Amino acid sequence: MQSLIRNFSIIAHIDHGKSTLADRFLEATGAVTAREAKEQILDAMDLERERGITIKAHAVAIRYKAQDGKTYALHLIDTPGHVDFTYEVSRSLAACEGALLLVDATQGVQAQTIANVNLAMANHLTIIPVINKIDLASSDIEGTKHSISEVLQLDAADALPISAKEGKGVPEVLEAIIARVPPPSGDPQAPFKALIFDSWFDNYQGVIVLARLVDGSIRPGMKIKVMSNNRTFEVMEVGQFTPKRTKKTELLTGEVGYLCANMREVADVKIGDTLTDAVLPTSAPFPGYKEVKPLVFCGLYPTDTGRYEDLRDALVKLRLNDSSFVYEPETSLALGFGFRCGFLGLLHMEIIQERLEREYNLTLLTTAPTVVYRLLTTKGEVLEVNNPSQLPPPSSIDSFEEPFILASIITPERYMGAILQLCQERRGIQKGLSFLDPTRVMISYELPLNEVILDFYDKLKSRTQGYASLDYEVLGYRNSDLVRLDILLNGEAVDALSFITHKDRSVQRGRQLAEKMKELIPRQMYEIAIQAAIGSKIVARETIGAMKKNVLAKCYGGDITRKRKLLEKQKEGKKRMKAVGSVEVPQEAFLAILKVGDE
Amino acid sequence: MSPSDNNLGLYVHIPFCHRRCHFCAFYLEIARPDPMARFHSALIQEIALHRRQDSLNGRALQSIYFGGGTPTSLPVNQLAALLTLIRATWPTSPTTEITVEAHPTSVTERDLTVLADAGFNRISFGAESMTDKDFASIGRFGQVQDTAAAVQAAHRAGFENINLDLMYGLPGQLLQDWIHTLESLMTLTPSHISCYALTIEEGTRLAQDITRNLVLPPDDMLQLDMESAAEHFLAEAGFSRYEISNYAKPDYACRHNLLYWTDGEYLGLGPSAQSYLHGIRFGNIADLEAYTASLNDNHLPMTDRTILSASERQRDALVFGLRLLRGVPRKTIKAAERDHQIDELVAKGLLDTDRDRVRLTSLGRRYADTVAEQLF
Repeated sequence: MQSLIRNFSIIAHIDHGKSTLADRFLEATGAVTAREAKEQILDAMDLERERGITIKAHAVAIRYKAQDGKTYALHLIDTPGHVDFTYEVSRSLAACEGALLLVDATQGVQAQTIANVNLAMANHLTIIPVINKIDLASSDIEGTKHSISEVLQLDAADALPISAKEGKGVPEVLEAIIARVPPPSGDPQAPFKALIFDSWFDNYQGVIVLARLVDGSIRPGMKIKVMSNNRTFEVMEVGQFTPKRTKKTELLTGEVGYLCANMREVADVKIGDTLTDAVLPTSAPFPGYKEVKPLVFCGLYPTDTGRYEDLRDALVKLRLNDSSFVYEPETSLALGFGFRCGFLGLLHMEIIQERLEREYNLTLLTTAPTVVYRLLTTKGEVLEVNNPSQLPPPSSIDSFEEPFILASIITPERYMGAILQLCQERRGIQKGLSFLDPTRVMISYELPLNEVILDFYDKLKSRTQGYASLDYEVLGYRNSDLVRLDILLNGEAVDALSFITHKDRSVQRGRQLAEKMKELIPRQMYEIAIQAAIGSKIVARETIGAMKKNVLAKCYGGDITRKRKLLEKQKEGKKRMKAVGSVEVPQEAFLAILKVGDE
Repeated sequence: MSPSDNNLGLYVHIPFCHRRCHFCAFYLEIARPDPMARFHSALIQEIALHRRQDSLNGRALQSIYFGGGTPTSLPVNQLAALLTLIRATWPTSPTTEITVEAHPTSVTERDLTVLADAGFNRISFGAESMTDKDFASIGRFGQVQDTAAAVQAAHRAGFENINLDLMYGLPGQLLQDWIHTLESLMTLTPSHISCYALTIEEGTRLAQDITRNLVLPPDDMLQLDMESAAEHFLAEAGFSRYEISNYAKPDYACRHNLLYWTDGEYLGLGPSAQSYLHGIRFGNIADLEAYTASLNDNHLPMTDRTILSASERQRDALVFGLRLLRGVPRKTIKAAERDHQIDELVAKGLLDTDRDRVRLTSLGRRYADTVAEQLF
């Protein structure tokens, strides 16, 4: 019965206790016994566990006998918890009628929470404020209520105080969901229509789709169609995660569940797309679907050139599970054969790199991340460039555009100066500054994305001792006075080291980068000249003196033992080296640009 | 090649000196009666345990080497008795090379006679320099005339195989000082000379002095000039360079040290001594207390142990064999599967090949460790 369904999400900042609360729901409703309850059931992947964040969305169906005596079907839709995944979050929220706003009573509202609450409001969700960690001595329930109502403009009078860790207040939360979140609307008689909010690849059954049924119902044997690309599939299986995967004969209007339909690629069923009956299709797809475009690109190269094919196979497999990253082959004069890969953001990039290395046992060389630049040539063509070395000569560029973002940063007041300084350094334009409460301030800045992907987040964390939180939204492209800075080693430009920077900062950047490269490239048999150039103009030069000799004077028993250990270590280091011409360049040097700019 | 075909040597580390020189990073203790007595009985126990375990499978020793430290910190009678014990434990032959290292001030002519009579047939003196002013900055005690006297006494005691260790690139040492050292040595008629470029080891007094700007660090270019001066001068004097730092009269190359560069096997006794037997590299703990405690407990005082695969052995044979001027046989390169790297190094002018062997060029000798890194 539709009136007994409640679809909801939990909005929370990292470490505010979302996974713990989800575990308590499963235990409280008997979906999982305490013995079975592993910590944080919903976070399946190792990496997620390690980083303490949720990357893929999940949905769990729970049966709950409420105080009114009726048994309700609660569908908890988990959302990814990082700024890179805003679109995925918005689609997960679109599949719900309500959201719990979970705030840590010791930390208050954070930037990402504000962004997600805004997404929930945009999707017209009922929001139930929940204040967690009231068991901690440093918790401030009244202060947290105050910040919820001030910052988020939400009525926090009946916010629920809980301790997810101790299970205190959890039944009240379940009752509030029943009482306040409306049941799904939707027409059971209308043609089948469902919103895709997650999908992944299963080796056995192909793609598994998580969907929210908007209208109609679905059962095995039905022919369905993906609305954006008109591809049709026959449904093989439907069911729900309880949290164990459980087959069902059908999914009904308003329900949330999974379906398998012999789909081979997750790219066929993108998040936000609409599924409908292939025979009796709906006329109106679910609104809000968009193609997610990668924002950040970098080159990935196997350090062992013989493993190019292995890298390609690994990318193919990873993409089966994650259609939001893209790759295409690219060749670098310096690095050989590799791939230019695009990601939703920096964290997404790190996750993919780590998975490639860990799960596929690859050793990768990474080039500095870059955004997608848009430029108008003198011939009037519009070009998109995600690799600085592909930039046409300056004489054929009429104008240059780069993506800007609106960054919202929440920080304790004492770090405000450090953050304003950082944003100024990164060509930021201040858009707002307001105090959330006596000790915390929210700062918003328009920033060029290329300045943000160069370790902005690391700098923000280190300058605020981890207290600042950041969220951003993409504003679009703006004209900028940009130039390409090339790095030359012994007179030869190294394509993998080129990058695009604002003209006003280019000379300084070039100088800093040349200095940094001097630190990072070990001395070799011959002198190495490092130059930074803009076009044909050399703007900086550093020299690494030649190593005059490199030979052990004594090499007997004990010396051999020590030498072997040193050689072992150097061999490990060499795996991350690339010979560029006659110069051995370590991996760190390719990322040197990330290490300059603020000193 | 099966291990038993390899040459086999014994190294005994005597970890005592009366003072530590400023450049020295070896494991050693200041010579005092108590620890020396404990060391002596522990060493006897170590020999006994190896005999019980038959670590050397009854094979004969081609060389025995007492190094340190300063072996002659121990009473010479004790050294003589230890050698007798070793020769009773493992077979030797009349041609077995038996070396003892000595500090020139630590031995009298009588001592040297005792050592020669006991069977030591090679002696190695730490001369370091033949210019007195070089000694202060490296904290080397004694004087040049002590070296001369000790070498002459060694000749009289019956040693005809005498090595002198030298260092070049010492603080304040000029090229002409170095040539003077080489010239002065010739009157002492050694059969073997080791010339070591002064190397600043971490944690030494000399390293500290350099950090504090009390002493200038060695100048690479000057050391290279000194090296080439030594090579020319010694060649004229009938010494041929057979390893990066070693020169010998014909037939006087150090057989024990050759083991290290020819995949030979060796058992090391004493704290910090390293061994290479049956394709396994292992080392003794570098601490006298722990060493004696372990042996009192009837355990060999081993710390780390690395078992080498066949290809790692071949690789090591190649990497360390290249330190020899004669280089390594081509079959070693084949066995180590390094043909491709060898070609690259030849192209860079670091290696030279002919039909049978591969060796470092003179440029390659300057960058022997760079070559080693490429081949390891």
